[in-house]
Amino acid sequence: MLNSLLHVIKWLPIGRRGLLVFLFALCVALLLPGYSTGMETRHGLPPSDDATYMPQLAGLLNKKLTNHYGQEKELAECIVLRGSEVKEGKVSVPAGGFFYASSTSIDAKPLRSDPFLILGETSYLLSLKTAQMTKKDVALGRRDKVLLDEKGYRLWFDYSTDHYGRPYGEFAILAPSGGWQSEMPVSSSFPEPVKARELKLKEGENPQQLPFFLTGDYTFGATRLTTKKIAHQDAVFAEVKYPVIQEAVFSLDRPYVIGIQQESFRWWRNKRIYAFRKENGILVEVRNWTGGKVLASKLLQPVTQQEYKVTDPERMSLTDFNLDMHIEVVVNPNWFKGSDWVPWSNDVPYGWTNGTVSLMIYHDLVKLKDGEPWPRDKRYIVGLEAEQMSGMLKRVVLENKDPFVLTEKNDAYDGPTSLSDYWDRTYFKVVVGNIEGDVVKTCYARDSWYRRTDNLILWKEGRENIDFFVGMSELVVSVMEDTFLNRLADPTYGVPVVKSVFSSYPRVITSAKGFAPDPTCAFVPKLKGLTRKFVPSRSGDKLTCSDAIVIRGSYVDYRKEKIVIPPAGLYYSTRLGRNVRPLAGEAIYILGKKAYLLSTHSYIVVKKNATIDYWKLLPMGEGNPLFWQDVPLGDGSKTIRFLTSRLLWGRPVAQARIIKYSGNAFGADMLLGPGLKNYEPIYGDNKSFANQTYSLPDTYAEGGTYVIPRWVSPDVVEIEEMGSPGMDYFMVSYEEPQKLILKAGGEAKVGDYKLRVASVDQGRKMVKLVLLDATGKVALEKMLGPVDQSVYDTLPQYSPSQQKVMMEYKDIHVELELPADFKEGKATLYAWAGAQKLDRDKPWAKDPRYYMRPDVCGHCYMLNEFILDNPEPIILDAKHPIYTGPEGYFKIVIDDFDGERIQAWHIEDKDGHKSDNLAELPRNNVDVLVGVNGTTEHFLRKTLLQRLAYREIWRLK
Amino acid sequence: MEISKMAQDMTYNQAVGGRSEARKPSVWSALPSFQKSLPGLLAMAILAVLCGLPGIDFPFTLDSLLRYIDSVLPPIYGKGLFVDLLHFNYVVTSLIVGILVRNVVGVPNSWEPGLTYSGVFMNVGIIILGSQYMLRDLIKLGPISIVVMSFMVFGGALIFTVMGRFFKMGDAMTGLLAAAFSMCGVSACIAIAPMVKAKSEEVAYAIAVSVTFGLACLFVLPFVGKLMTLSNDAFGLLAAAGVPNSNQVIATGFNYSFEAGKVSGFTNIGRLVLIPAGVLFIYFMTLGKELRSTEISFWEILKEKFPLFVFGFAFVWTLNCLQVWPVPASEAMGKVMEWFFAVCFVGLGLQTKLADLKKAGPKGIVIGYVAGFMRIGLCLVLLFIFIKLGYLK
Repeated sequence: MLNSLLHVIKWLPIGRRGLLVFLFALCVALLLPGYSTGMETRHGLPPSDDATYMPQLAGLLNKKLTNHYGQEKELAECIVLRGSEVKEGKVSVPAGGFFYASSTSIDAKPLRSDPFLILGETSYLLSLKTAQMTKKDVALGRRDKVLLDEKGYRLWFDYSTDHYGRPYGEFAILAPSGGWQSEMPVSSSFPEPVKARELKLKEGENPQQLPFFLTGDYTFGATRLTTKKIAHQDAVFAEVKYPVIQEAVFSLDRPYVIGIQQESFRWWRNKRIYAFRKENGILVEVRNWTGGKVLASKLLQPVTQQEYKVTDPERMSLTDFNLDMHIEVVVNPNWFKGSDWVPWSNDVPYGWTNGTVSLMIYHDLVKLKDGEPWPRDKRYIVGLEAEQMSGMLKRVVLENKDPFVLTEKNDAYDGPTSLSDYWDRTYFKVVVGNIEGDVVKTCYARDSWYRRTDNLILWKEGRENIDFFVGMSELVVSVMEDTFLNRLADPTYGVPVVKSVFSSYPRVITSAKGFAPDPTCAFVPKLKGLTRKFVPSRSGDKLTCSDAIVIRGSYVDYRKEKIVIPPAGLYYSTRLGRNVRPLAGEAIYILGKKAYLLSTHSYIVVKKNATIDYWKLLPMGEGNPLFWQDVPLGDGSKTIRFLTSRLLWGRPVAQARIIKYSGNAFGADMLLGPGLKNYEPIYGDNKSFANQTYSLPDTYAEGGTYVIPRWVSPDVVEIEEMGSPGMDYFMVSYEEPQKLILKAGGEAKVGDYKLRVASVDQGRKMVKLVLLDATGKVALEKMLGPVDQSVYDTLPQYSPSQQKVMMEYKDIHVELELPADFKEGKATLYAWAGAQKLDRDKPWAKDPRYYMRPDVCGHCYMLNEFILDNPEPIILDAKHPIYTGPEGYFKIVIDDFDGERIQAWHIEDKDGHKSDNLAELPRNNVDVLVGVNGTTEHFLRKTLLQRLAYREIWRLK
Repeated sequence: MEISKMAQDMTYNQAVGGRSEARKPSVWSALPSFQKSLPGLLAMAILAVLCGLPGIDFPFTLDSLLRYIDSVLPPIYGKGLFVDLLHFNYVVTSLIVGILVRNVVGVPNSWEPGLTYSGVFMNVGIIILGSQYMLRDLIKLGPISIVVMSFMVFGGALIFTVMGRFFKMGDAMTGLLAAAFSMCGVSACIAIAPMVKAKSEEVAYAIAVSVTFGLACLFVLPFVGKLMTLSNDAFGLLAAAGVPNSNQVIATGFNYSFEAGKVSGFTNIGRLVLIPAGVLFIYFMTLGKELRSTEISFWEILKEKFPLFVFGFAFVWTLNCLQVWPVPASEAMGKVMEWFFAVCFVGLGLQTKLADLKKAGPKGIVIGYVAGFMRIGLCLVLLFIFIKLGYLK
């Protein structure tokens, strides 16, 4: 055909080559849209930034159920619409843009009756077919969310920064629903964490260490990121591995437990179930009602808690879809008393208790396959998403297979049809109305009982899309990650404040350091007097410096009619978007005044043979346990806290975190799970998990912080050695620097002194500086340099290298401009007068009611945050209703306190600008977050779902 | 079903010393024996549970049904029609169910003695009601709000009292409407009812007038506010001062603007706080007439006429203002109070004949609406004064 076409074409002036080029171009043009469509899939992406979040639709369930071991599972359903567009009176929603998601806390595994919600039906997970996807040579740019496969998994390059000038970044794997679990810090430029074992440090304070540890091969159970090259703006991974689920079988009804005398039978509905004891298990037979015909039979081994059994469910269960039965042999059903469904029958006829076998029988079975249609409604595709550490089931997603269009006439689109014993119903629908050109003014979701949300278009002028997220599911935390701060800080909402829970025994703590504020505390996004300014650095970086006020651990002592803010309960915090570095002209604003950071004095604190105990905490309710098990580190400005523990293939994995003075956690969660390296769960002859490997790091190390566990149990972790940076002091100057370009012999006045360049050695990159006092006497002589590659390779963070390029004497600070080339024999210097030392745990000179707490970065030894807090308790009562911040920078004012309830209070800045009333509803503490910086953002992130939900509910009430 | 004469003989009004009967030596001696009363008491309790008793997780209630209907219907300014806008709370649903049972099905003889206990339940409920208000709550509103709220509560009560007398409406209905419109509709009605010795049908009438007036305000006031280009703060205050029921106050505010909704919700607290003082004020206004018309001394009248439970109410309120018990105790008392009121209002409904309600005629509605809008007018004048003086934007 091509030949005949060429034959016809030969009469035309374009020629054979021209035709081939044309055909190639045509092919590309035809293929491109298809390719583009693939790239434009909404999988893994969030709804639009202005999408409405509505926490409640009555039909979407939130339940807390327990499996048969009594483990609690928080189940939640949600519906999400993303990628929609309104054009010319039509609302179009792409394939995969409208989905239902049901998720569980941590994960659901087979053989333990793990509950799950599937379109409102409580169901139980029976079996899973899992796999691991491996992608090689994945390249992406900063902030990109690059597709990993056709299912819609993505790799997200969230953030990058550097140490010693070498880059590292934080990455996450996004599931097609948009959910992600944890950000993984990786680099291709630093030594692996295991090298931390080679450090030979004494217990207590040690000098700053040169090595900066960060893995290039991040292991998170079933997930693994192996780097090839990580740069500031792009990254290449040699391999990205993540778990997927191919198939899941659920029972849509609770299980029945029956006890059977061996070699005998019991009735189950119209069938007889026999159990025969064999040397290698129990032979279970399902026979018809006469007992004459065997319908199904299998030799089963009993189900127990050992996780390895999950690898071989075939040996543990009899599943027959024709009979609609799934049978497991259980050892002692009395242990299931912690479950939601205490077995209704666990005894045997005639009171015989010896020689009985208990069977757990499930029915109403449904098999879901990833990527295949939902059995009851072909318009929806099933997505099964895995928990990224265990590879077990995290989420079931049902998404629209084909794009759809809504118009004024065709104004609704049905959600998936549920599978129910009583009524297979459309579980929900989305309805639109008032579509005017390119905007829509009405959109809501209605459940199967016809209950509906309020209008999801919150603006009178309408919206150009109908994206939304409805439901209180964990998924919202990751999906709304990009926009949560804007949503919470929206000034039109004011400061809605939750009413306190009043109890007879207020939470009382002696010191609030390391504590977070009350999770229900007010958040004031903006107080006029707080600083939020761009701070340009010498290299042209524009960093934002912002300060904030935090009150934590406060309580009302109603017997004495006083409000108490414990020591460290009130603090002022100032910080940049990242750590503040010397030698770059970087500055922070302290109480509104610009202070240049000149140098830092950091060290590493080492602790050996420490034990942290999970159960050593004193629960106080209200989500505020007192952490007695915190293990303080060295100077006491940091502690290590046991957060939780879990099992991965039967091995305990402890999750701990370094908690900073401010109450913020440092870095990523520490996963302490020694002994799990490339574990391939194969049990007996069963190879269903072949080639699926699970790994966890033996040693935790991120930057300068490391933890070497000796052993880990679900309750206690014994730590062989751990270390984390600390900071004694840092130097600042409120004065502007002088830029000096001096040849040998050149002089300049710096403060009360005269700086003389004694010599410049351009070849060896050295300069000798002499500081002369007013009398001409030499106060200090110092040779700066040699500024060779070894110095550049360890700057700006490594203190000995810093000292090679700076000179400090009393209130004078002089540093070399870097890179220092000494062109034409000239040295370029920056000099400050008025340098002052800000010491840890010392009073703030101008207001000794406050103490200084420089917070060091656990990665890089640099200044992370500067805190001023109260060393003594603050007591507020009717006679003393006001307390001022450092140097009067702000003021806490209790307007109305009746001895038990704080009826009205506010914070005001030094110019008298007031916040809203922070006790719109009566409260029994004055905990608050004022201003947005990294510290308050961290606290907000921890309560994001509750705050977003409360904000919306409050808006409607 | 036969309706006995006993129903007419032994009503709530008699039990609390109603106007139609000579006062009995004590409340207890006027009540039938517990044994005789048991069927009626059980009927009231069961109907109260079916209406939706606060704190009891029984799903098949009228309250659940109304909430369900609200969740099916599109919200109006974020509010449900029945629960939020028509204010169908446990009091209103109990009253309606009682009235429906009485007038549609009828009440058996055996219930009648038990129904007389509704008066006692109301008195106990009112005594506990004192634990729900704290004068200090007013302080956080700020001086302007306090002035506006105080003026509108006491001034509004005065307008209603004067108009009630002028149009010869009767003390009970005057007191009920004054309380309903000046303070927080239903709660204030409940509190004042036994003091002014109102009949059950009068209570139902006053509640109906206040709820429909509030509904009218929801649509009229934002229009008026826009016409006068009121600021959000001013409109929030206007809604809180002019609209009778709390939910309607907030809905009216949000109907105007988001900020106005916030202000109205917040300042509404002030009006709630003033309920006890306002109720006592209205009571003494009514009592004042008797004082003038007799030659007996004030103290004699006080001794003779002043119901004991008002002392209880004032006493509990004072203790609460002095913060004698902690907040959890006060919250528990609130729940118990709601139970007493729910059972009481079922009883009141079971004693209310619609024929009697008709007798009240349109006078109450007309006076209620006219005086209600006069209050709003007065409030606007006050707000304009504050705006002119620069105290309000």
